[in-house]
Amino acid sequence: MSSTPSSEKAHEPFETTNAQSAGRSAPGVFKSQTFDFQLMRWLSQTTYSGAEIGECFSTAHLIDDGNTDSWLQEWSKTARRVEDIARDCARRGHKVSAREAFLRATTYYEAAFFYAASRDPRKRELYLHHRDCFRHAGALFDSPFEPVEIPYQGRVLPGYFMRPDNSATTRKTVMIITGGDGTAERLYFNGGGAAALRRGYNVLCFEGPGQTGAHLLDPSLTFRYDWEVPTATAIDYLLGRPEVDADRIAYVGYSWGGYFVPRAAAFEKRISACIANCLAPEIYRPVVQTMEVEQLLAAGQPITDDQLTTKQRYSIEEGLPRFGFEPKAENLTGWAEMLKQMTLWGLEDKITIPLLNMSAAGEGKLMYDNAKAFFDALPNPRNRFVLTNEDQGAELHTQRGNSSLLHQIQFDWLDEVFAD
Amino acid sequence: VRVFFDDSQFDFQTLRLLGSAGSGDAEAGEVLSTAARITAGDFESWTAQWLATARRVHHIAGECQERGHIVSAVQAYLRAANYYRVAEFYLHGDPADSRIRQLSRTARSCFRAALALDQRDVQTLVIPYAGTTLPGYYYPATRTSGPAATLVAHTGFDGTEEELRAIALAANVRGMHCATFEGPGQGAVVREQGLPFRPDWEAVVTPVLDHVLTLPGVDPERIALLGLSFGGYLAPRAAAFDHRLSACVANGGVFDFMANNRPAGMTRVRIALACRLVSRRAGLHPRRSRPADPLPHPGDRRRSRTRLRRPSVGAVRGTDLREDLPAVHGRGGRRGPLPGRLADAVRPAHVRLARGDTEPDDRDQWRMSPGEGTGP
Repeated sequence: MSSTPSSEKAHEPFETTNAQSAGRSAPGVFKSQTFDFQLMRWLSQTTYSGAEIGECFSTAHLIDDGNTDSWLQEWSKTARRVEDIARDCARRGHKVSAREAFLRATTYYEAAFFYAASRDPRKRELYLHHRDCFRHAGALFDSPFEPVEIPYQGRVLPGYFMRPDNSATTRKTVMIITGGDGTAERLYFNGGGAAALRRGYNVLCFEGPGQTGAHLLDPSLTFRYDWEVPTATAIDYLLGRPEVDADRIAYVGYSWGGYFVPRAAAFEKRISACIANCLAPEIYRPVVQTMEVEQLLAAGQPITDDQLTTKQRYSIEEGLPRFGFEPKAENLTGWAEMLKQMTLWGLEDKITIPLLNMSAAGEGKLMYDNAKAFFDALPNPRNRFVLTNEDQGAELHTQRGNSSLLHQIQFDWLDEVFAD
Repeated sequence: VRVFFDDSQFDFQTLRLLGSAGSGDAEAGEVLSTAARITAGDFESWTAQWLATARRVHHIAGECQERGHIVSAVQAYLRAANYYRVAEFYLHGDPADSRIRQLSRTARSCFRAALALDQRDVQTLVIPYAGTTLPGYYYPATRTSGPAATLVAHTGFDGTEEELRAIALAANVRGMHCATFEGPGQGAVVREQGLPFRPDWEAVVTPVLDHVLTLPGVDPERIALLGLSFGGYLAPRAAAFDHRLSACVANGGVFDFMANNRPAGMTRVRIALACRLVSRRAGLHPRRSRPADPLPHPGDRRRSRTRLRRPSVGAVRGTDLREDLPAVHGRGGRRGPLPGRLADAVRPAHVRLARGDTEPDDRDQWRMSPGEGTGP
C-alpha cells in the first residue's frame, strides 16, 4: 500500500468517466473495481450499526474475485449467521444486541443479492430476508420504525416512516430516495435516515417505481422520467401525519436520485429544500459510459452472455427489467431511448427552492462537469455546491466510506436553510 | 487477515482503528485514505499522516461547534480524538519527544469537548489512588430506576480509556452503568505521572471500586470488571482478591502472561530484560523505583490460582471455576461485535459458567452460560 501514488490533483475530479473509480479510500481487497466499490458500500454502513468491519473483511476475503455467484454465497452465509445471532439474542431477551445484529444482517442480505439478476429466484428470497431483518430491527427501536405502503396508482410504494421519538410533535421532515440500486431499508444507514433522526427530523425512506424493492415486489412498477408523480403521492402521505411540518419538507436523492429529486422539485412545489447527491442533469451518457454499455450499443449486433463484462451483464439483467424490458442485449436500444428522456436540462429556472449538490471526485469529470454546469444555472442564492475528495476520505460515489462527513455537510446545510 | 499493510503491526493498529467506526469513533474512508498515504513500517510517516487527518477533522469539529451543529461537532470531535491517539501511538521510542504529551492531551481534550457538547451526562472521575489520583469516566445508564448493574472497564497495555466509550455505550443501552479508568502503566497515568504497571492489579481496582461505590445508582451487588487485551490478565487478577466484584470479563483471558503470549524462542528472562530496557528507554519506569517487571511473577500465578482457582475460562482447563464469577473470553481480535456480546454476557445472574469442557479451542470466540456448555 505504501507504493500507492499520491494524487497531486486531489481537489480536482479524477480524469475518468467512471463513477465508481476510487482513490486512496479503496479497500483494495478486490481487483474487480465494482466488487471493491460495493465492499466499501457495506463497510461504510458501520457508522450506523449496519455492518462490522471484521465481518465485512472476513467475508470479502472468502470471495472469488469477480465471481458474482461466490459473492452471493459468501455474503449469504454471513447474513444468515448474523441473523441467527439476532434471533438468538431476541429469544433470550437481549433487545439491543438483537436490534444491532438484525441491522447488520439487513446489510449483508443486501450485499448477497446485489449482483443477482431480477429473474434469479434467490434475489427475491434474499431481498425478503433483507427487508424482514430490517423490520425486526425497526420494531426494536424505542421509537419503532413504521413500515408504510404509499398508495400509488392502484398499487403501493414501500417505505418507512421514522420519528425521533414517540411524541406527536410537529417537526421538519426529510424524504430520502436512492437511485438505480439500493433499497428503502439501506437508506436508514448511509442514506441519512439515522443521521436525520439524531438531528431531530422525521424521516420517510421510500422507493419509487422501478427501484429495487418496489420492482421486486411488483414488477409492474417500472422507472419513469416524470418523478414528480410518485413524489406527489409520498407527500400526500406525509401531509396526512400530524408530526410533519408542511413548511419544512426536504427531499434527498442519491445516485440516480440526483436526477429524480431535482426533477420532482421542478414540478412539485410542496418540497421546501432538496439535496442531490450528485446533480445528474442527464442519465444517458454517464450510465452508458460507467456501465460499459456504450460499445454494446455501438456494436449493433447480438452479443452472447460470455462476452459480457460484470457491469454489462448487470446493466442488462438488472437494468432492463426495471424499465419494463426483457433482460436481453437486443433491448438495450429501447432502454437507451428511455434514459435519454431523463434529463434536467431546461428545468433550471423551475428549481427555485434551496438545493445542495454533493459531488465526489471519484465520480469523474463527466458527472462533475454536468453537475457544475447545471448547478451554475440555478437561481436560489442558498444553493451550495460541494465536491468531496480523497484527502477527506470521501472521493467515492455518494461519499461511500465517509457517512459522518456526508451527513454533517448535508444536515448542517439543511438545518441552516430551515432555520431561516 | 492482512488488510492494509504488509507490516503486521501497522495492519493491526489500522484495523483496530477501523473497528471503532461502529461507535462513530472513525470513518472507513478517512482511515483507508490516511493509511494509503503511510509508508509501511515508518513511524514518522505514520505520525505525520494521522496527525494531518486528526487536524483536519478537529477543524471540522470546531467549525460545526461554532455554527451550532452539535451532533456533527460531537461526531467530529470523537473521530479527531481517536486519530490523535493513533498519531501518538508509535512515538515512544524517544521518551523526550514532546509530541507524546502534546498529542495525547489533544486527543483527550477533543474527547472531552465531545462529552461536554453531547446530550449525555458523562462525568469525569478523579479517583484517589496511593497518594495521587487516577482518571476515569462515569457513563450512567439512561432510564434506569433504582440501583443498576455497573460495568467497570479498563484497557490493557497500550490503549486509552477513551477507546472504551464504545463498551460503555453498549453497556448503557442495555441498562448498565459503566465506569472506565486508567491505572498505572496505562494512558494518561503513565504519560502524565510516569507510574508503571504493577502486577498486583487488585491494589488498583480496590480503590477504584471504593470510588465507584460512591457513584449514584451503582448497585453494590452487581459490579462487573472488564479488562481488554493485557487487561485479560489484570482484571481476573484483581477479581481474585477483591470479592466485591460479582462478574469478570477477560478479553482475552490471560492465565499466565509468559506462558500464553510468549513469542517463539523467547525465554521468560529475555522478555523481562527486553521489557525493562524498553521501559527505561521510554522513561516509563524511573530508575530509582523498584525495578519494574510489568509481568506477573510465578508467585502471583500460584496465589492467583489459589484464590481464583481459574481466572479466565479461555486459558485454563478444569471445572472448578468459582461459581459466582461468570467470565467470558474472546479470541481472534474481531473487535466489532464484542462490546455488545460482552455486555450481554456480564448481565449478572444471567450468566453462570457451565461446568464441563473449558478447553481452549480454535474457534474464534466462545462463551458459556447455563445449559449451553460451550458454544460459538
